[in-house]
Amino acid sequence: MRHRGLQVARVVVLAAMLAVGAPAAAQTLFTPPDTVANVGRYSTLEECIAATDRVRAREETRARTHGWNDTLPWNPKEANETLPAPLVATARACSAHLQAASVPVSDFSLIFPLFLVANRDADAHTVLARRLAAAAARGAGKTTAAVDARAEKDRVAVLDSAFDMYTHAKPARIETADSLARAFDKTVVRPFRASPSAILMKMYIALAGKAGEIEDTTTMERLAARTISILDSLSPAEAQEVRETEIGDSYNLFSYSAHAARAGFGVLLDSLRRGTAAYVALQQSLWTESTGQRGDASGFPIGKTAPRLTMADAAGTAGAPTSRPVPGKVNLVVFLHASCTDVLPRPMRLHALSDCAPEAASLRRIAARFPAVEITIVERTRGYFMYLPPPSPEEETSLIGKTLEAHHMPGTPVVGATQFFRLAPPDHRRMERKELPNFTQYTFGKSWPTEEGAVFLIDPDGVIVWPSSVLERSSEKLLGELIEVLLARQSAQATLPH
Amino acid sequence: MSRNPDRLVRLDVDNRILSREECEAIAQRVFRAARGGGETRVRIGSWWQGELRWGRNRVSLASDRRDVSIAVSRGEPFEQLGFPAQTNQLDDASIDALVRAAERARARSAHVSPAVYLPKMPPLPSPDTKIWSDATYGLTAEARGELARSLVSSSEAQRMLSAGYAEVRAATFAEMSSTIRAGAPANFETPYAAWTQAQCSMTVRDSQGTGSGWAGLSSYDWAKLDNSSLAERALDKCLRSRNPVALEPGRYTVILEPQAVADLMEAVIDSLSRENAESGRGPFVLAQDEALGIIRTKLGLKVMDERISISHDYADPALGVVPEVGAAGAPVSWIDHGVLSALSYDRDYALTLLGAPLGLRRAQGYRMSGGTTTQEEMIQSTKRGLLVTRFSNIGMLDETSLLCTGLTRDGLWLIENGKITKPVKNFRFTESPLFVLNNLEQLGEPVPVFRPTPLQGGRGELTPAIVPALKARDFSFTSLVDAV
Repeated sequence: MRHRGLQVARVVVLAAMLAVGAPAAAQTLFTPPDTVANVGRYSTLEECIAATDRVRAREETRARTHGWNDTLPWNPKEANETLPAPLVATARACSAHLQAASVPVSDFSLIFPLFLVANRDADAHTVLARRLAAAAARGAGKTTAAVDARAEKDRVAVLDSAFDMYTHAKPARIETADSLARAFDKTVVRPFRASPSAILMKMYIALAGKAGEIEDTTTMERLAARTISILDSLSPAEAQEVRETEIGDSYNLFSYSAHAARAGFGVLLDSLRRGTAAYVALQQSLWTESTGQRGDASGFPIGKTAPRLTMADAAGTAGAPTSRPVPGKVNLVVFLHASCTDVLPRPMRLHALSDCAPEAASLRRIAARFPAVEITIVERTRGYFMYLPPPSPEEETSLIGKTLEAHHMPGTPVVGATQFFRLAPPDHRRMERKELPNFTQYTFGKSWPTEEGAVFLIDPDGVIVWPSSVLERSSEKLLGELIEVLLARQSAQATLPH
Repeated sequence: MSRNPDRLVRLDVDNRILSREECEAIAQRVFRAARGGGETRVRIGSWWQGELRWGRNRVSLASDRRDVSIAVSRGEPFEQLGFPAQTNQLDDASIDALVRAAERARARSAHVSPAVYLPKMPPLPSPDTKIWSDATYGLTAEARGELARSLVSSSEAQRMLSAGYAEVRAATFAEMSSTIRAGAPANFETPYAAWTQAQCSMTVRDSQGTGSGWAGLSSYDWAKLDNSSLAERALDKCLRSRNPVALEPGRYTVILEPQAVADLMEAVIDSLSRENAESGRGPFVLAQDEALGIIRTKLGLKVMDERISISHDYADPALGVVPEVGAAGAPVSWIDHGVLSALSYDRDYALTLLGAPLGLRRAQGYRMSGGTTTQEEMIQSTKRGLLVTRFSNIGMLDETSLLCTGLTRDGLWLIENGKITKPVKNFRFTESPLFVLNNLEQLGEPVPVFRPTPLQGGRGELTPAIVPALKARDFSFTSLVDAV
């Protein structure tokens, strides 16, 4: 009995051991719940747009933190870049249930760009056609001129919006936008009315700009010709009406740009090869031809003599030339862009100094490519520098020079001393006197606001060849070609027998 | 988890906050852990807080909490990075990991900003004030328990219900740079500062909920809080405020006790900012100067009754605040006999717009003075008016006029023919403190009031106020409030 009892006890112990082990064997590993949003389940348009916006913001942040494109040389292919794949995938998934034939056309302004992001171009086109049909139906059967005008206004607004979205999409739908503009062109009733004319011109200029980004000069010239044909067809009264639209002061500039584009940049370069006088004469004749105004009424300081900069308080470097721009040399005079100078000496905003980086990178590339070009950076004192106790003008000049140096900004800084006055106590605020010779003389009668940034290319005779409000990487190619011509001209002159 | 033997600083009962020497030792350890040269900055803070909370005559919370924080920044530019790495562990391994984390953060940000020339500057001046109290730091949990017993007993004896909160706190802060340790000037350094603060407040209510009384005080020094007097005042107000009568809302002459004045003044004090006024915000905007393209302020103009002056002086221990680095240490008069004589501005503003090296500190502590009338004299000279203990739930309705709305609370009485006659039900008021300060009839002697700040990660700082009672006419009460 005792032996049997022992056996039973062994069985019990064994069973207990098995029982202890059994739950472990039966356990299942914890699986975290799937918390990834299934955007395909989103049922409303608003949810879909919010989802794409979130992904867009995330992708933009990622792009910003993984690269710094604005300091790289301009690449024409950038203009044809596609949207990040996750963004397109999100837009496709959450918009899958939206049928172009049945979505409410009242949501056009939301659905149309969403379809473009999702690369559903055919559906975008369908929605556009339905929206235009709705606009036409608005005036159908109504005989009053007011109703008709409202319907027409609606139609034009839809076309304008669609064109804008096509050209700003990624990649830009240039061909579709072009065909839309041409279709619009055909429907505009002659004689032109102000608003459609203005919109058409804007469309062609925008398309020409896009063509310029990818360096497609043939398309640019074709679009310029179309713009000019519109301009030529306007009666003086209609032209005046167009001037009163949102185009306003840009009318002359639009016209000039179109004429210059039709002439071609090569023609301008050829004239510069002959001499600055020929180049200036061509620029002025283009202005006269396009606007009917005198050639020197454009406001562009092309052909003007570059004023000599005040050097009295410059951050002098040993052996630096005593006069700027340097006579007998090709010069680039740079007034740093406001986004850079606003933060340059500002206390507690040092983090924003990176705003200077794109302009500094462009200048570095120009300086490296054309070491013979004299670059001058024009700056001014502000009476403060970062978090330091208020510096003297001399100290501040030195600090600005060192900061530019830290940014590897090429060229010689010319720093003017700003004059101040104080408001009466107890206010006691320090106000700047707007008397900065270096800045005011380069504004050429207020037509060129140097405080916001400006760049001037100056030939060896001290004549301004090319002014710009900012040096952007997209304009480096054009600037480079102009400098090449000027330097080639200079070296050719140097080899001539005296 | 066992304590790491490498830990050099222990925060125990006798050593609840970091001393200057301990902060410097930690900073040196951080500097030694840095690799690859360049500047290292360290921000070291420590705090201790003892609390006591009670309700319905029973203690509901008694706590002692403490912590340290070590934050590190490596390399330049500092302004962009701030202090990207932080810990509260003081052992060598943690310090090393902290510095490595700061170095990784610097490496990650390297592409955002190029190496920038960063000029050095001498350490900024920081006014030295004595806002340390051994009585505050030495108030043990047992002593706080005894306090609760004594504060509750008088209410309990009267069969009233009391609730309250007492808190003692000590904190330290320092910011150091490796460059100054090497003998060169640092960009920013905040000298070691240690401070204490104490507060005690209590409400007494009757069990039927028809009466409520409150009293409270805050100071850096626990010894300056007369807690038995607080308990008596709260109980007395409760007993006298029972069974209030309803009055018609409307404009009344009011006598505001110092606490009510301080509650109402908050909006005025907050708006004493030059940057706000010159951006067109707040009550001290005068007009746009079209010629200069700037906004003129009311600096130099009379903005309230000429008897009122509002000022601050670091040298006054009762107004002791943690000094702002980069702010001038001289006494400042915000309102001088009713004239707006100064508005605060930070160092950034001083440098850019005034060409001055130092800012003018915020008005976080202030003394409001100008009168000598006692509260009794104010009551005696009032034909018909209301006596207000304090306000609550004050909200701003209009930033330009400082129109506010809020509730009276914990004691409101009707005054008739120079005597307090009966308790009154609470009102909602809709009024601008500037209107009150321009309708002034009498002003009393200033006294310290209850004005604590919440604990902000251990850095909640003192905001002392010394404020008088005042009497003003035509105060606007807009509706009755049932809450007691």
